[in-house]
Amino acid sequence: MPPFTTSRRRLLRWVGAASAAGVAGCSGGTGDGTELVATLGADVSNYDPTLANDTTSRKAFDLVYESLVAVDFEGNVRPTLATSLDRRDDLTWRLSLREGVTFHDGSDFTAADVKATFERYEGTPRESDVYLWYDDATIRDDYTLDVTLSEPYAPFQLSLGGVPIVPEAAATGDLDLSTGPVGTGPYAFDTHEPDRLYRLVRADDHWYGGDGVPDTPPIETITFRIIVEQSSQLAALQAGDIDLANNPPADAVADLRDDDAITVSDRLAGGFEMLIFPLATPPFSNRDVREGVARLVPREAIIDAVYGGIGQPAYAPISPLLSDYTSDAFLQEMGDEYMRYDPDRARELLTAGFDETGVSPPYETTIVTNETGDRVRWAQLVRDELNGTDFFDVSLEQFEWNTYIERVLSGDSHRSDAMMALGWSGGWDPDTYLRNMFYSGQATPSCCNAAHYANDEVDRLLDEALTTYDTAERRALYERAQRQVVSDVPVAFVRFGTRIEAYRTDAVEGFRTYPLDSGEFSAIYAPWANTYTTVGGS
Amino acid sequence: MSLRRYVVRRTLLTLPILLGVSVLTFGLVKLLPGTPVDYVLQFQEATPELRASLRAQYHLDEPLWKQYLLWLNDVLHLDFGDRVVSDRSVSAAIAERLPETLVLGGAAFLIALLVGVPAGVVAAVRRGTLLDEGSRVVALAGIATPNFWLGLLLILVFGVHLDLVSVIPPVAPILAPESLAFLVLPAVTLGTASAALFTRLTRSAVTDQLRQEYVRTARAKGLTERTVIVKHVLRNSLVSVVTVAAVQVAFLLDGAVVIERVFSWPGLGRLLVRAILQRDFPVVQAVVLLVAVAVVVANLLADVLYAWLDPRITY
Amino acid sequence: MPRNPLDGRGRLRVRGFGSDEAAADAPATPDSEADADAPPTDRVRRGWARFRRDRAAVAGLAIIALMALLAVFARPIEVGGVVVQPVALAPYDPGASGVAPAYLPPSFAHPFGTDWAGRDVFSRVLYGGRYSLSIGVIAVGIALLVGVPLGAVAGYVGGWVDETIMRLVDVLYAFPFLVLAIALVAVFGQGFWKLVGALVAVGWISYARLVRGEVLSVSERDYVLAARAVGASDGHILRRHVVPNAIAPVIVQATLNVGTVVLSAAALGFLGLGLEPGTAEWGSMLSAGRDTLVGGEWWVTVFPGLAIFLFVLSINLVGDGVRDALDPDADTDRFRTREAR
Repeated sequence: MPPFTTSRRRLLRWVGAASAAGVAGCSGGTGDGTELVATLGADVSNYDPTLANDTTSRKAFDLVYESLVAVDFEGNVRPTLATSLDRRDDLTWRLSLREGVTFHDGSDFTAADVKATFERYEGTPRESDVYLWYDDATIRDDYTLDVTLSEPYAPFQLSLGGVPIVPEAAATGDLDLSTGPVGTGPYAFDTHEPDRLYRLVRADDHWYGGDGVPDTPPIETITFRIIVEQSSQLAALQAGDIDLANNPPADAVADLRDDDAITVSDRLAGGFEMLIFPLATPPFSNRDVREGVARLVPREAIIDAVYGGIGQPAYAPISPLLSDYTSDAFLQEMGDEYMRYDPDRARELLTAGFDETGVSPPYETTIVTNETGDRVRWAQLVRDELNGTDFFDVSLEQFEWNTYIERVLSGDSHRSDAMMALGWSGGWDPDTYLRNMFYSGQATPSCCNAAHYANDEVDRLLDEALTTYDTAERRALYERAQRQVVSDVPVAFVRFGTRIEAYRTDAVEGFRTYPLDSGEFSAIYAPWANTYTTVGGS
Repeated sequence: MSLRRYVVRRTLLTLPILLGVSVLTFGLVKLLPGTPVDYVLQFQEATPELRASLRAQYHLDEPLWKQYLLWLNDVLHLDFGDRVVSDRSVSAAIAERLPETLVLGGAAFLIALLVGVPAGVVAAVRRGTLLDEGSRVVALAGIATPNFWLGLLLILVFGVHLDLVSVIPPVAPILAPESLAFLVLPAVTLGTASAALFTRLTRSAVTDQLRQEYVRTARAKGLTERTVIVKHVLRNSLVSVVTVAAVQVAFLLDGAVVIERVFSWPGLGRLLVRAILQRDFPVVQAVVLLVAVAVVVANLLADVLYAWLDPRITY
Repeated sequence: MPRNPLDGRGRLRVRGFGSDEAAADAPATPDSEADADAPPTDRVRRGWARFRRDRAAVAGLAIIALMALLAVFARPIEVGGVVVQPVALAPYDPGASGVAPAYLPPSFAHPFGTDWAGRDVFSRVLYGGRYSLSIGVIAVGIALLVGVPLGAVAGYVGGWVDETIMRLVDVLYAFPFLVLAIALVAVFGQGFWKLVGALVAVGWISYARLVRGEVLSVSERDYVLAARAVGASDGHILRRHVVPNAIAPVIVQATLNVGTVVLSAAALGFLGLGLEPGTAEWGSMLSAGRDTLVGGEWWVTVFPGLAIFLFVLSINLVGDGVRDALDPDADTDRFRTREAR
């Protein structure tokens, strides 16, 4: 591969081009500042946090908006726009806000902006970001706000991290966020050429002043190129047309690692892949059958073949990322007792289970998946494994995304004749790994409990854990809840997710992978996590 | 019937076609499983009230015929509405991407003409020889390669290994030199199939012309072969070539759908496919209608042009 | 006799191409003139002789035949429990994962290497011929069964039947082929028969238009008028004159469309709308392997890609050869080639 700085193409461009087409930061083609060229896998569709439900949009405005607190790379809450959070009682929190912060449109940040931000979530697609816990807010003065919760809510602080603060004018209608995001973050929105690029520029009056991290973000411009086709993204990275590629396919990681010019950074993330069983349909209504299938999922083989050896098997829902709430020991225990790959044991269970339900093997069924490359592949391996036994005759049905969502989230998903391959993204709080999928009230179509799993004990445990502030207590409650869920095997967990980035070694320095995809680019400038990125000099 | 009446009659005939296209598009998108609400909410927890209000926003609970008429009324006032997934106007979304697709299509068309026509002439003049057969095989080979694969291979060879062109579109105006340089690869990929078509078209048209009386006369008069070919044969052949070529519009969008994705070219093809998959109904309707109008107009022009140019035709 | 150049373009009947003018131009076209009157079997024999002279077309036919044989004999075929074809040219089961380490480059044991799941690419390419051949032949076959009768009825009956069918054709024509296929696959789902269905739905229109044009033009011929004058029945005219003349361009179009169908199936696979994941269909393999092309595992896509290329090229050569054989000089399709989709 020709060295980056002396490529023929750059020569040709000098000879031919009249206008500057700044690509990548090494020689500062755009003028006085430095530039990082990253990628997005889809076009940005929304700038408004209340409307943006796709991860691409959220990644894109992550550096433009800030929240009251930020959650760092280890899951600790750090003050950002709020300097302190004071729990007055179970339902009231007093927030002290930072002074001297301005929005990119020049207006001052005050408590009124916070209250307006919260309340404009009502009636929007992201309503549950706030209204799961929010009841009311009282402005005590410009920099103090009392928030009243509808119930004690353990994840309150973490949830605040997921609410970007917008100017009050956005709520009154004086500011239209559909023309561009306006926040208090280190970067301001510059331009968005649909399907082509999305650009942010450094906001020169960012409030941060402290040690460890420069007061001003070192990178002046961040250009996100919108590249949908994965192979093109990889080619662009290798050719030096981009500096940072997000989420390269796991397949390609081995090749990228071999390339000295490229660094691959991976991180255990919050989320997992699973296979959901339609609990109302025999033989899946039988618990032994479900455990049998779960014990036939070839997790290690999947991790090797599909994910290039990256990642770890999942035997329970809560990701090891949340070290306060789960542990490797617990996961191994769950694996040993209920989920680990064991064809012999699986055969015993399946024989017993099929007998009980009176279904005669082989049972014809399907696995439903969408077109995501990794998922399609692990589903194939599971299918092959199941077809290798005499119990099942499985085919794979792939649907494009919208059709897939409609099937998985339809009200009778538990009665369908198909297992569903699904990926779930959790967050920093354990509730996010359990409630939406295993709480009885969240059964489709309300949300995402496609199996229609209903267990009163689990419901009770989850409710209690949600309203308890003590971490040790919560941990015990979640452990019991997980045990119950895993032993009932409504789903077979496959693998915990990972986030991967690949970047050009000589161009990018200091970048770290954030475990949750909405914060993917946080490491570019995250003073609250003592992290920042620079683009290498030539 | 005079030419004018023919034109008028043909034009009027396009109206029921356009209406049919709009009905078919509407019907197809409505048949797609899933609604825009599913896409907007995805795996978000949503109260029944929220779901209901979103459905009302997209008129999903109105009877189908009413939804269709509401839309038709807006279109006739040139209001294409707002995109479902992003709050911006459909017309703006199309306007942003139309020039890109036009430039790509235009470049592909140009390449196809510049390569295909001379090749066809040569093949016709040297009819029956190895050159003729060879050019035919090469032309067919061009059609036989899956275009996305060809595109990826070209990117790999010229973009990565040889590093001669950028792998992604440069950040520059469409007509800037480096954009045009980037455009070569996708235009070549897209234009290959059309080039093959033009080769064959030109070959038959020229062959046909060469058999005509006037060619023998011209040769007998002592004109050089070259003058005969260029000044007479070619001009007459081009008439039939161009009238058919005008109809390539629909082909180009087909190819553009795939090529735009491979080369990350921000055009209409990508918008359309994504809109179908996101159930972004206003966008699908608007783009398909736009393309249909273009195809129908191109057909109309081709017919009129041909009728006008060929003096043998009476009505 | 030169064909009416505006046929198939609209409903206008063009006069002025009477046979006496044709006779003046005709000396250079003895074959087609004779063909028009010759009994069908003679024409076929003469066509075959002409076809044989076309080296490229013969080569194409040979390649198709070879690919078909390889596809049939790739793995055993069982019909109702009885093994009809026992030969297995493919060394491994195309669907068997893990027969070897993943991403092995081509070697003696695995001439085309292995893919991400450790499957033998050579076996998959051999076996994949079945999909391409069957999708191509079935989709085109059914499209013919739909389009030809509709076109014939439209041309023969005329009136409002003709109007309706042709307007429907025009409406469908205004849609880009692939976009319509995408929408249909998204509506009806993915899988072999649904894919075939979508391809049929967009493919039948070219045959309808073609046949209708032929039927219309044939009714203008002098010899047909003459036959009518002598008292020949409609059925006789249809059998003796309309059908033989109409068949030729339809066959040509159909042959060429097999290639188009295979390429469209590949494009749909590329967009994520293809067959069941893991299917050893060339287009799906191309699509599944494309991320590693840049990384250097070229064999996963190059071999299936070459297979598609060879298949479509050969079928196009055959189609071209058939066209030249059946209508050697008239080159009627220059005006019909916009239907070559």
